[in-house]
Amino acid sequence: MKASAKKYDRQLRIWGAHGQTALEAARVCVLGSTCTATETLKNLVLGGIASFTVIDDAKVQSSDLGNNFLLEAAALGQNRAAAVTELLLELNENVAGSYVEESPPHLLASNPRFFADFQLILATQMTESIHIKLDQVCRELQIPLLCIRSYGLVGYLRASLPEHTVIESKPESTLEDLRFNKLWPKLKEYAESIDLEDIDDVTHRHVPYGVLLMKAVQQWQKEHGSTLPATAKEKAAFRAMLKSWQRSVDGIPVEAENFGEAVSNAHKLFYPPSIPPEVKQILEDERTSLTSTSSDFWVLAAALKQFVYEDNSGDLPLEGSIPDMTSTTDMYLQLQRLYREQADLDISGVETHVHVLLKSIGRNPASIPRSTVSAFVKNARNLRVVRYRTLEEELQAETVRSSALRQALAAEDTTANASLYLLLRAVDRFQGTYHRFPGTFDGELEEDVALLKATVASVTSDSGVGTAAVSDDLIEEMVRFGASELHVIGAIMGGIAAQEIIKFITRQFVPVGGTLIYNAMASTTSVLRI
Amino acid sequence: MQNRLELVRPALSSSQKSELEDTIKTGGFYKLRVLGGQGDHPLHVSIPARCLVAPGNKETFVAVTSYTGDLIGISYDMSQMQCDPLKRLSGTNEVTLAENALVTVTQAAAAPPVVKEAPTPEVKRTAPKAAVGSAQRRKDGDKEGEEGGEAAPPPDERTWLQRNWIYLIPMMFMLLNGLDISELAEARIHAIGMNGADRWTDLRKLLTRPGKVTGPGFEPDPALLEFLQEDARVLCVGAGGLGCELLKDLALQGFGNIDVIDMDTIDVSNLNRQFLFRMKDVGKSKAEVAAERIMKRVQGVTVTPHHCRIEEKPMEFYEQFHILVLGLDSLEARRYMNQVACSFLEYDDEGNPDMSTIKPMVDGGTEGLKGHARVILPGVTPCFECTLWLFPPQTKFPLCTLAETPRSPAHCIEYAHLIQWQQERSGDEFDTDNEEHMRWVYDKALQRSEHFGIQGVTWQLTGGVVKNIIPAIASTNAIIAAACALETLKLITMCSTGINNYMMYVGADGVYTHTVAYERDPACTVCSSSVPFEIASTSTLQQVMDALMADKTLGANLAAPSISHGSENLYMRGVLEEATRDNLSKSIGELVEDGGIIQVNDKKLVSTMRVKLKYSDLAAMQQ
Repeated sequence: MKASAKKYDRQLRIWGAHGQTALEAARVCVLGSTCTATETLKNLVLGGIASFTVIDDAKVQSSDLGNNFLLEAAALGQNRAAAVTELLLELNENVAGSYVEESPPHLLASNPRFFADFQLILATQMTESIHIKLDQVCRELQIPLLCIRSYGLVGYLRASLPEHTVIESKPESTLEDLRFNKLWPKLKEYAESIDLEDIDDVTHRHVPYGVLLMKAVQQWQKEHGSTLPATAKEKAAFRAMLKSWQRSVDGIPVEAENFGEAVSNAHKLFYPPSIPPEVKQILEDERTSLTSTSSDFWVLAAALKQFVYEDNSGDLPLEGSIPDMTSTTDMYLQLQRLYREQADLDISGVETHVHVLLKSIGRNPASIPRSTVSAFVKNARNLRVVRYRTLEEELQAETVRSSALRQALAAEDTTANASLYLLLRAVDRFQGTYHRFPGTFDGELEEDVALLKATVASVTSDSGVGTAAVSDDLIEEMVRFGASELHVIGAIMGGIAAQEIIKFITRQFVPVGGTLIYNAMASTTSVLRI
Repeated sequence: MQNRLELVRPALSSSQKSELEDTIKTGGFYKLRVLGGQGDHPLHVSIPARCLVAPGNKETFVAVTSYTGDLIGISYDMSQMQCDPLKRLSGTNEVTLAENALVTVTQAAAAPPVVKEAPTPEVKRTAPKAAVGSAQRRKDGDKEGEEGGEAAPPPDERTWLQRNWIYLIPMMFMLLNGLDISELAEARIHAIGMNGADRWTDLRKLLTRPGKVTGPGFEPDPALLEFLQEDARVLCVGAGGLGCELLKDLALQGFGNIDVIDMDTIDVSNLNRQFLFRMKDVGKSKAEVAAERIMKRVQGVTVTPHHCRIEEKPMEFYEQFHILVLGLDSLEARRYMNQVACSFLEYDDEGNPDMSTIKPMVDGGTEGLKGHARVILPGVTPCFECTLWLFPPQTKFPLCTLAETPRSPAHCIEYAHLIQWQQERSGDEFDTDNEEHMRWVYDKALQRSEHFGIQGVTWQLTGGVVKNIIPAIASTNAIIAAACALETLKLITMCSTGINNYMMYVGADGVYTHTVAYERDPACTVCSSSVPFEIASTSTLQQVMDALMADKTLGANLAAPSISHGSENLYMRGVLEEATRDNLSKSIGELVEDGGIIQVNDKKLVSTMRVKLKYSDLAAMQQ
């Protein structure tokens, strides 16, 4: 482990040892072996997944040498899946790889059980009809599916699985959970034990601002009743009171750092964080009514719900960490300990509900260990659930979310990218009709523009967006692309796909919750909720 | 183009200010009242509070409007959150905002104690302004408040150059090479024979077919690919996480001649993303191994490695490239390369950049799951120095905290690293790459933390704190490098529209990207035509020189300056010192006219600094 700890140091700092363990157990199956597939795999192999399997029956052509880095000229004419597997394996000696020399649609039709052996299926450069069949198979096998495409200067990404739950969503910034106005007895006792009048000057300058705020709010409430400062005037008065507690030397007040911090952090008292809307939704989700098949996540969510509303008067459990504050070592560590202890009590509180709930659905009460409960409770503010419609629902005329699509087409910042989404569907339909993608041949560009326009019209009408206009410029651009697969677009889509796969496997961060369109002309992305 | 709406907020009273500070810190909203052009009904919008507390601060965002001119959202430059639709609070048609207007709210500098309802900025002017021009005006302290508010169609105040630079880049490359496009077409037959008929099938579609979503001067031509293969010269700065990706991407985009410069050698911790390197390469030059691997894999490409520091190369080295692509991980190296690129820039007498002297630069950077890609055209788009504020300052701990009141594991580590090492091993120079040194710091930090009862000192954290390690993964590097490589291709061929001029990518919560046109700093010490400097005309040249060196911004890169004015040497170091020494006691007003530009040279400067003198005593007299 030591050698790989060194090798993986830069990523362990992102997803930790437990994230790496999950990655090192992951078996990924990839349909297709062009650059969009290999650029995704390259990133996953470097990161250290357990194994990959490439499915493709195509032979290496000279055009592959112009866009795929995982091929050598010597491989010309050989099976492409075999050739890329060999070079991918050079990237990381800890990763196993294999290939199946068969066309993905054929394998899908002949042996759908083949896919049962993987943690995740990645479909690259497949058309709509294959996506739909694959989705049905993956849902049946309960395996997440990710579909990606690079088409000229356009990229597409869509995940499909019933539900993905996240405990460690790792938001970039969180509000600190400090509860200065809801002191529990031990914390209150500690705050009261520090007598600001009675301590020496050095200690006075080192009372942590948290304690200063706790004392200030108690003083305030003595004078103003049990409310917090609410108006601007009251808040100013509150801050002035804090400042007036600073000591003076020869009658001149000395600005102390800890008091400065108390004044500038007073907002943490005025605006204590509430339950985030995403978490509220989880607590209200019908899945918190448990059945014997409920997942651990929902058992924990149900326990959290009971704890919040039955034991904790509507508050989430205490997170338990505190920010740095100017302080003596002892006072800071004491404060830190008090928060940790209370957080531990809250974990135990939730754990009690977990045990009862597990028993009630006929499961062993010890089947969810305390470490899992603890991680869940500490992340109570960051819990996330992402759900996906089936691809069939997204694409069929009777279930397409026309209004969302219409809105995306109308809103200025998504018009182009919603049009590109329709165009990707149109080129697939074009291919179904004419057995080639528009713009495949230099001599048929104008003709294909006309044909594609007609196809776009039928797609828009089937999608329930009526005669919504897709700009002629973009239609011509799609014909210009001629289904080309450019290396850099493959690299970008492969990079995004690898990030998404890592999110699914490590259960950290939040995956894209819709259909992602990457527009390389404008350097923009849009996530369509359709 | 984006229209600009400028607002000025009355100065806040101290209680309003602290109120706003609270709102900002808690991620709350504040209300913006926009007085419309039609009638006097104010439109209230709620805006996520971000900044704008200190006087003179600016807050810039895009007011997203529907095609009918309704305000439907607010989008921030550096926002990580997507804008939520905003509710209009009353009636309809009160205000017609220009389409997706760029809005700047400026905090008034003076403090008129007009008490209004808490932080509510007021529209003082709705006439949209062009980005570049208006920035200049704000700097000059022009009072926006004195003009009436009408929503007239915005005049495009950008110079011809600012509007049309994008047309000129490919032309420039042709000129630089003295090449005729038809000559290239002939060369093509030969090249195809060499490369195999359809190796570049996919790329060729983009380069040889006409399109309408392209750079404005795009001419589809097979010769473009030949230009890339035979004549274009690109320098990749860095052969690390981004560099490896960039080299691969550039080679597979048809670039036939690539140079790469990197001083580093390969480390084990590079292998999770720097895919051109293997375990057996550890200790070798990154540039050399990377070049060799690319040439082995992509036939016909020439990659020339330079295993040295970027500062070791002369200016002539950098001058030979058409474009510089940066894959760096430090601010210092970026600033250096920025100075290099800007050093070639020349301005004409009217202060317009000479197009043939523009050295385009593409820059990428990543951290964890996020990153940025940007295009810098010195003199046209902001250079690195113009937007230095994008880089947050590093956290530093006060020494007394480390020594007397440690509270966190980082405090213990920094104590061992910065204080204990000096005390106990003062003869040894601390080296972060020396495992024994790191181990020593870790052991000492651990002991100290146990002594104080602080939890959490680990080997991993020790490395992170001491080396200031930025977490990095293959996938983010792949995304950012490919975006940079694509922009490089666009700049040279115009085969598609380009980034104007900064794109950020955030992958932690779904995928979010934001593309924004940052503005140049007209007083930028690196890329502006001249930096304004105010001084009395009666000051001696010696006093001027002293004042320049004492200036916080300008003085940073001055040790022993020489000064000239046009072709006249005012004061030179070295052999001309004696001949020019007499000028030191002359008054500057005698030597240079008001508004004149002096050139300052110094060995600490990468290129000449142009300083525009403004005589404070003359200005006072005129008033």
